[in-house]
Amino acid sequence: MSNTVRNTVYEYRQEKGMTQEELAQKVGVSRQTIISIEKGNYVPSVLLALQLSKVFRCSVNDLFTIS
Amino acid sequence: MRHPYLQSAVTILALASLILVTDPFMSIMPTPAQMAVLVIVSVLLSVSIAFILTEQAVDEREVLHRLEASRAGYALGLATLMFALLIQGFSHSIDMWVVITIAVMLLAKVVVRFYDTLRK
Repeated sequence: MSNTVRNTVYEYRQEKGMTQEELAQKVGVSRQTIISIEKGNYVPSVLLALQLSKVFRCSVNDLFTIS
Repeated sequence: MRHPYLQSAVTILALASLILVTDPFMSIMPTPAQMAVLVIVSVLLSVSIAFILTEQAVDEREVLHRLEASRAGYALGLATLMFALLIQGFSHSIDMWVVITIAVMLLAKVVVRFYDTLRK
């Protein structure tokens, strides 16, 4: 049984009115990484997930869920 | 990859030089030209090695890509050498450099993994 990770990074980013480039710069990754995360093609590390949750001022569980 | 176009250009030139150095048609490469191409291949391969050693990933995703590319290069290189060893073995003319290269690749991987396990 394989688990997949879903995220709401796109929704939170839209809510904050940020571009992918702005978010990428805030968390110190490339724009391509943000694109991959939003598409669900890449699961970020714990550190990056925590950095994203800090930018969006939410918990990691609000951003990422296992399904 | 910090210089993708430069690295790609070096790789293409190195591949073209490698084809030339084998003198595929056995008529287009006089010995002085072949020596010159050998020098060019050496320089290009040295530049490729420098790119590999100084490569820095922009972020964690690129670290993963670099790892996958390294594994693919290592595995395909080892498979090609194994194939060469088999072909040469059947014709009873094993080139020792093939054997040495396989040994160096195997040892390098084991030693580095062992070192990383001890260090971290």
